[in-house]
Amino acid sequence: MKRVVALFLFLLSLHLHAQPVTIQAAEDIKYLSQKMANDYLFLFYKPDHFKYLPMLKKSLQQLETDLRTIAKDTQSEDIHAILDYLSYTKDEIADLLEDDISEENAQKILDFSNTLVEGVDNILESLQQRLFKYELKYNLMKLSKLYMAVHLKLEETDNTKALYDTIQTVERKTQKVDRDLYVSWHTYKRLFNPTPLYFIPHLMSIAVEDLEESVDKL
Amino acid sequence: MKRINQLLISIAILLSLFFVYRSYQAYKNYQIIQQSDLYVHLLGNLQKSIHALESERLSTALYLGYKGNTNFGQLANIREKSDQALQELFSYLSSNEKLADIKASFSHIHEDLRYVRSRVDVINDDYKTILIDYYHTKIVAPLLKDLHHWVNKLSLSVETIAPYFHTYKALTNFIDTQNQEQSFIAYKLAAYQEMTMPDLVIWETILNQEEIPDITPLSQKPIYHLLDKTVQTKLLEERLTTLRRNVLRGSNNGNYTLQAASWIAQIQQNIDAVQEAQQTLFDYIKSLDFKSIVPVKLYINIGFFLLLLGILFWLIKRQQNLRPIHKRILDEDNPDIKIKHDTDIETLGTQNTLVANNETAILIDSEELLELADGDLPLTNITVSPTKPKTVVKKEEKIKEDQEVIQKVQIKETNFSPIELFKEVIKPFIYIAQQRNIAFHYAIDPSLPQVCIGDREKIKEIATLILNYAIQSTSSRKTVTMKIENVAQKKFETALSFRIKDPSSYIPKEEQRHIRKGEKPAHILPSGHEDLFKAGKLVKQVGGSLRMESDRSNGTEFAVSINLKRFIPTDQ
Repeated sequence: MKRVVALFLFLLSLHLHAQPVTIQAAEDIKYLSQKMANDYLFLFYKPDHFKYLPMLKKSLQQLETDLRTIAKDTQSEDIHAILDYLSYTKDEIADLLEDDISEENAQKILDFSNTLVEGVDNILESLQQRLFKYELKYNLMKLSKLYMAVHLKLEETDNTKALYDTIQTVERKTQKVDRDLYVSWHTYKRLFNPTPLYFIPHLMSIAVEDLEESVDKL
Repeated sequence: MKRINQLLISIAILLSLFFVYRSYQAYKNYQIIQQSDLYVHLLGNLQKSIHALESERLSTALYLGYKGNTNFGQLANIREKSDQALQELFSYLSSNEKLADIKASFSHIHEDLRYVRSRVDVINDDYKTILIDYYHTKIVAPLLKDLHHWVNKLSLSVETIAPYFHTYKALTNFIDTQNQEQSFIAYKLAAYQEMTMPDLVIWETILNQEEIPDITPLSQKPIYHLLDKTVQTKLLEERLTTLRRNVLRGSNNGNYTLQAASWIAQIQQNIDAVQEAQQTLFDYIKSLDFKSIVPVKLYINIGFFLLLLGILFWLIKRQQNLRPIHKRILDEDNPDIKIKHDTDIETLGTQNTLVANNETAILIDSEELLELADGDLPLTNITVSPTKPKTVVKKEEKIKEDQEVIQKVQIKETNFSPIELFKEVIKPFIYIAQQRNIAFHYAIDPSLPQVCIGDREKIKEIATLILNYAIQSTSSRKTVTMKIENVAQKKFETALSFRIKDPSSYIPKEEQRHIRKGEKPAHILPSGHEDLFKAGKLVKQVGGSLRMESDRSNGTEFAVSINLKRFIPTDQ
């Protein structure tokens, strides 16, 4: 009996030890999924801009590392099944980056980013834990992605709705966490305007980077 | 074959035109290179004027932002400097006629500058019109556009120097966007004015034009290390990111944490660094000896053009050689007959009768004959075309001069019509061929002279003997062809040739030699060969030649060539 209890405690400790690394990697995948889609939309907007493609490839490498981390750190068959699917999506993105920059591919990468988020959310639900800072950064990046998608007229109606929803989410989350962050957010909030006349991707991008840095400092 | 040749000629012409165009372009570029001093100095003058005007714009932005609460004297000094720079530019443009057009395109600048300055003097609030619409769009941008235009021209002229100009252009662009941003934001910071969404759109427009200068195209050049030290792209980007964030944070309400002076100073660090690199590169460009540059592009294009020209001439010559020999001779000697040849193609196959008439001539050329023999149309579909009889007068004196050509043997020379003669020969064989169930196709060249001088009877006998041999030796359902051609024609002579193709018989080489010589061999002759020996002898007598080609599968082809004198009427 004692041996059984000892074994159970050992396995439980292993499980508890594994969780933070897995969760962190899973949250990172969520963030990267949005970042890759966002960077691709910037690339689609300015195809001759040399910095976005290396950034996308770097994000893809980080995504691979995160997937490996989760795979090593978890023994759950369900999670491994999800990882298979996520890995497949990652390969699809890699193929897409080798292809020409096009509206069709921009639409595809938006879909892939949603697929990755759904998969990771399932993992996080099974682990029953989320990291607030990562979630906030993920939402900020999602906001940037949706802003670009709306202005580049990619599924405009759905993405406009999602943009407003995400603005609300960021509003709620920043309100909860820190006053300075909330003030900064309020300074920048008006920039996420879906009106075509006020398309300011560079300034919006500066704002998102600034907010992300503020979140990192929390 | 002809069509392929024609296609090749067309391709060669097109390619030649293409290389003419390329050579012209390369020559124009070479001309620019030859006058590079003129244009490089122009770039220097433009660059100086742009810098001066950008300084004036920045001072103006501060003056307006502070609502005139700064030293106006400072602004006035800067205005003087820009006037001076512009004056230098205009005097340079006036110094050369080639630059007159550029001068004309800048004629509005003085007027615009005077107008915008008067508005600044009264501290007009319309900063967008003053800073963007006038100072940038109407004053600086045309100068910058022209600078880019000449940079592009010079970079296109010679590939080896292109990276210098591309980099110079990139540096100039970056300085321009930095200056635009600097003056616009300086105004907002000086005025502590919030940025509305349209203001943010103006800022965004400037950022959208910005490109961090890339100096890597010069990485293989010695100047690269000098530029790399000055232009540190990462540092430029980091500085800009921090500054822009600071400004953007206060843009909502005008509570900027950054002073205008601080903003100007920090952005100026970027501008100075890039300007230093720009000047270094410009000095280097000035030091290049453009005139010693070999216009490789021009030479290559001219080389290709000349090569194609050579090919073109060769193809044209080849095309001429592909035309049938007798046609070429006819074209040269007898234009009337050429017309007949052209028209006979149109009417070919429209008549199916053989008319033995003094007023007709049967028209067909050797190539068409072969085509017909291979194709569906029977050779007997021969066009009959009327020919006009000519009144002829003897030119006896001339003929007498040629008496030496008359055969040494007993030759009875008479005037006769070769066409009539051959019709006479052929007529009975049409009937014989029908009886023997043999297809007999013949063609008489209409270009044969109307009247010739020669031994009519001997020629008739030769043709009759050979044709008789061919018809007799040919088995039923086979085809015997006879072509009578005027293969060459001079003013007083004509070369008559008739060829008879017998598909069945075979004559060995040795036998052919005897026939040609007209000598009877010692052995017993095969049936009909007696006639051939006789024909061979007669051919020799009339000074002609008899050739034979014979093989077991295709039979034998007899080709007789006889030179005849042409009958020339005295009125000619």
